[in-house]
Amino acid sequence: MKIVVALLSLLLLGSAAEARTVHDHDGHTVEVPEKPQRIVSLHDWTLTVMARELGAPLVGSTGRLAADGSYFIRGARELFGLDFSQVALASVHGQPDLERIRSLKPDLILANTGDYGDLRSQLTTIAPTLMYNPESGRSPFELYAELAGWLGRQERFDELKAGYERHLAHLRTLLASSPPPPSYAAILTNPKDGTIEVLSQYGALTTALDDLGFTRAPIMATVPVGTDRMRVGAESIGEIDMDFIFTSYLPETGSSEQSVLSDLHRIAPGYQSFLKAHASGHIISLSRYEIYPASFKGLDLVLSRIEPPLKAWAN
Amino acid sequence: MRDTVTLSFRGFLHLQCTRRFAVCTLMLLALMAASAVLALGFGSTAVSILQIGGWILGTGSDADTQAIMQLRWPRIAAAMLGGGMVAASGHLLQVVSRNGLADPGLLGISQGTIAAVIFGAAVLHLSPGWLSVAGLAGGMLTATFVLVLSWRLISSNGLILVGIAVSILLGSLTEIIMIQGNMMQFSRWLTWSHGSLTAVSAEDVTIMAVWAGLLLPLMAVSSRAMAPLLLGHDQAAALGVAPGKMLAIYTLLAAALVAPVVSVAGPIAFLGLISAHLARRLVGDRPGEVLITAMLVGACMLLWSDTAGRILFLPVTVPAGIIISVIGVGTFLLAAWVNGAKDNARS
Repeated sequence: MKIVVALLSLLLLGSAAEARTVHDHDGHTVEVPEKPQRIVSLHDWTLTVMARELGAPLVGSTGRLAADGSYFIRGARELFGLDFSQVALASVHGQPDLERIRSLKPDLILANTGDYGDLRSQLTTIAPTLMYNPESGRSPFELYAELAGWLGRQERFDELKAGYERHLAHLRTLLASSPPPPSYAAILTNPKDGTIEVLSQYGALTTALDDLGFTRAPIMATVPVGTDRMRVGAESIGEIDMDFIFTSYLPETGSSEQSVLSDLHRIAPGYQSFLKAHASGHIISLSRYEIYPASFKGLDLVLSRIEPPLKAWAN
Repeated sequence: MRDTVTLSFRGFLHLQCTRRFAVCTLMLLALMAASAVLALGFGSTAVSILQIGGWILGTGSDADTQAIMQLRWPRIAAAMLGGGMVAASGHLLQVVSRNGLADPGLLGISQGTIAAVIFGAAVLHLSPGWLSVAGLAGGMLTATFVLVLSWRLISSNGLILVGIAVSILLGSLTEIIMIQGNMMQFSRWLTWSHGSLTAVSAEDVTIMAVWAGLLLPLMAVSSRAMAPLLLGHDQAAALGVAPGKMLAIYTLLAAALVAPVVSVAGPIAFLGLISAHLARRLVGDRPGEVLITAMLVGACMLLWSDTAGRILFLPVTVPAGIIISVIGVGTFLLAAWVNGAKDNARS
């Protein structure tokens, strides 16, 4: 009996210790566990959101300090209700604490290049570390697919993608009867200095709209390469005069879906009379950290929000 | 009781110094060593003094302790080395400018290093290893540029003014680069610009140690010209010191000392200034003695600041540069208050 137990234990240990090789975004070749059991993510609204959506076993994540002194996981809180009663705080964002990360006994660390590139050698003394680079200029969902492969969660990714594509196909049927497709501008408003940020890439928001077949405002193509946004003055407001205008708000600062309207009034008084998106009720604002991170839930939220005005548009 | 003592090393090297300096040096060395041992013991994970002792003496420590020490010792060593180097840089600049407010930040050296690192990362997309080299080159180039621009003035105030102007210019260029990037890049630059030892690795410590090892003998050799320079350029020339040449040597030395620290940890404002001030209070005005004392004070201050920053407000960690700045403002106010009280007493 003892021999059988010992053999079973050895088999179990053997399967847990199976490893595979991954090439991360910084060009490192890393041996990672076949099925990692204790993942620590060092960036909340990119890595934590994706790992959580893929169902990977997260034991820790970085978090941010809220105004009331509590800690929250940006993006994962809004999308999945994830908080620090479910996973441990690995570090406060921007303040890496290597000892705290180590105390979580991770078998895989996910870190992003920009914040943790300098710390990679120290992190690898704790656990195999994969560097993820969300700023390489590649599409966020292409990177997401790659991360799913790193974590051995490709199947789950494909399931999520199939669900999204079904939702997308349903909405495309609405657009099929109304050529040409609607145009859109993605912006952020800065009422304090009277400027507008034109966005060329905004995670789930722009991905869903582009996949749906919306055409982009020409000004979005003028955003410099290497960045995803461009600040313009109020005099350029005519450049965002598209069928739809999309923006986002931060509920934690007291903003709401309606805040964009007062912001636009402050930036360009009288905008109501010349922005066609206002006249048709097509200025749409969504909760920022639901639609900025790359997540299929975010894509579905964008599609669900756009469905009613799209039905009206098609008619 | 004699005021001076002679330290003799194996009969071939004799160093004469004041008794006060000798006592201060010994006390500061003991304080620094004790602080380093204490800093090894503090952190997110509890480690007993016995485990630390075992690790230091190499008499056996468990794998956990060894792993934790591997994370702690580089930043402790970097704090001591970096603190000493920034303090030495500050003192050298105060000598060449004959201005007690001189600091690597004031001559644009820190800003030159920052600009080079940010330009290298955001525009040239250099790897972290090359960023250190870029920072070093930026600091040295800025020092050379400031020196050449102020060369014709042969005036210490000219050097400071040119330094401030170049610093403002480089600061503006850095801001432009920072706001061109996306939100993630901006917040990252902001964090780095506070001056933190979190990302220091053993390789960084080696680089800093090599630089310190190369530069400290140069400083020792050239330190004899400091006292004449403090009397003014004409008097220095009368005593056989070439003020222009020494100005250039000391400014480049100051840049070479601070650039590797800034490229590794970001700018540590005020440290060069405070350390030299405190050193003068401790040992008087002899430049060579002030230099060594300032280095020890700087090493202790950066070590304490880094240790306090990583343990006092957990899970939030505060960059050492921010804590040094808070202490710097406090020191300024205290110095102003003490000087004001002295002036009142005299009148």
